[in-house]
Amino acid sequence: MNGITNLPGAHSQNSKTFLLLEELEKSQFRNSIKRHPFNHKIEVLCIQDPGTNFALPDPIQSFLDSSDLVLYKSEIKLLDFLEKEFILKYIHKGSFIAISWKNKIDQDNVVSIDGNGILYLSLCKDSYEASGLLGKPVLFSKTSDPKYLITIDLKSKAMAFDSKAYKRVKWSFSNVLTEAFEIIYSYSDPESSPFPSPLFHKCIQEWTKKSDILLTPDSISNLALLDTTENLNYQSDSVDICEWIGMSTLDSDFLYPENELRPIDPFISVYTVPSPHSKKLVSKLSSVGIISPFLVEMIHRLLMENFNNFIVTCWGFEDSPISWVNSDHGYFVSGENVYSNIVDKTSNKIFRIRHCGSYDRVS
Amino acid sequence: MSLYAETQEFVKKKLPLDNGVKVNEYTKKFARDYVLDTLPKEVDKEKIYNDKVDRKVVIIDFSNKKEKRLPEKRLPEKPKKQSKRLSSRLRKKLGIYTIPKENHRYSVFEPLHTLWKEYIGRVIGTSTGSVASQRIVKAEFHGAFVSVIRSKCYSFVGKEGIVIQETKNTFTIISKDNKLLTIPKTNTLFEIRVSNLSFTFFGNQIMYRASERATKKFKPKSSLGL
Repeated sequence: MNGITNLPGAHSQNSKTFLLLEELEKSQFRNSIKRHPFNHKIEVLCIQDPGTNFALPDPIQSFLDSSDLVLYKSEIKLLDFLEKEFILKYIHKGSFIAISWKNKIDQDNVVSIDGNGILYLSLCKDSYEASGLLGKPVLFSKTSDPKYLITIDLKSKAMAFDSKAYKRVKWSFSNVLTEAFEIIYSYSDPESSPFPSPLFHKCIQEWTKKSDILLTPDSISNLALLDTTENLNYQSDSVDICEWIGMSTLDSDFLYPENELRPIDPFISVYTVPSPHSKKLVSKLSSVGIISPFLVEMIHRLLMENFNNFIVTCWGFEDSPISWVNSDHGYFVSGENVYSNIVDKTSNKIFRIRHCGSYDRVS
Repeated sequence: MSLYAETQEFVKKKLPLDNGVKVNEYTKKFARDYVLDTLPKEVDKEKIYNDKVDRKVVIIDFSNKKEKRLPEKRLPEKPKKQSKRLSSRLRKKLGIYTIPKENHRYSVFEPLHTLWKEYIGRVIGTSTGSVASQRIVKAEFHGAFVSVIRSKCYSFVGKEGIVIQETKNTFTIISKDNKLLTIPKTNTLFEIRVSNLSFTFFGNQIMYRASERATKKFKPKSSLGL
């Protein structure tokens, strides 16, 4: 079918990548992890010398096997989130994260709860005008069909069970926003037992493991080489690192040492591993599902105790109403919101990378 | 025989006309001397006086100047008839349309709603669909039970009650919890239920007084946004 399709008027910002190199002890990376609630994929790359045999330490192995890594899926009505028992048990305690599945952020109503008890409703114009709740227009929405974001803090005093605000929200969920959403959710609480009800469809989030000898740039193994005061090519080196992480995620043939000398058709790609580089044992652990910030933080802590050099990358949901906390998010052509933390304990440095799509308040 | 009448004797004799008006001798002399003085020196004054002036009627009092017209007398203005309608300031001051607080009760207006149901039943009759919509949009809404379905202002959504007053831009309703609410028609979608029928209408499209709405022709339009 021939024809010209004009994309809706985009904001002038393009996708952006933010880079930050800092001291490991002074770094605020834990806060940054907490501020990114909706993660759908996590990938860990442990980098070691080629002679070692990779074996996951016991604490990590037992953590990965624990039932905390469970994903639940069911059809839920919004009124169920206002049940007294639910709020007292799972919102006030622990970390309950939920997001509607199969609903597109730019065209449908999307519901989500971040781990801090805040309910986000990203509604179309008709649904918003009928809901009777106060919201704000989303930064990235078409003028012909705007979208609105309603934020309800289920933990706040204003939402006490006998308050006007609670009754109003309950009225709206009972009479207007009555549609059921297919929601995936996870719950984690270090103190309590796992999420009970056996009625919901439950999936164990499986971890895939893989180890290979790959060509790795020296700047990843030794972050001191990236020091901005000495290295004039800081920007291009850091972009090389971003590229390498992407190629490793794709399991690209370009990273294998046996392909270094064998020419690959330049029509496909002209990528080469940036030099200086060396052979390293790269062990990959990845999981797809709904990964809470609590889980990401635990993984960071366990890896810090057992490895000197590792990379943790988290991909956010492309249809989430927010990417980072208080940051409006839309899809447009790519709803990416990804962050990577490269830790090098030897040089006591951490290199933080953050990718945002064009429809993101952060960019 | 002559066609013309005979000239009168005094004309033949060239005697002055005797109209019975006696002229003073001094006046006669003065007039003659005045005219002779007025004539230029170069001419034969006696000859001109005798030929042109003496015994002739001369209009003295003639002026080319435009006469000043006196302003017409203005008749006293009749007192203006005072308008029979009260101004809105007076209306507010007198509190004509203010409902006293003791009557802010839903039960007081339930009989009105019952009456309205009978009335609207006769208006709609057995018609349905667009015919019924055309009739109801011209009907009286005082006494109707309306509810707000959608609104750009979130606080109006869900409000419902019996219409007590309808103005050009607002509905004043009494809700079941005895609260008097004034809801603007702008950017609001209302619903009226009549037996098993439900009618929704955009407030933006009925921004008229009730009396004007009854005679207005409404064109059918596809669904509109607020």
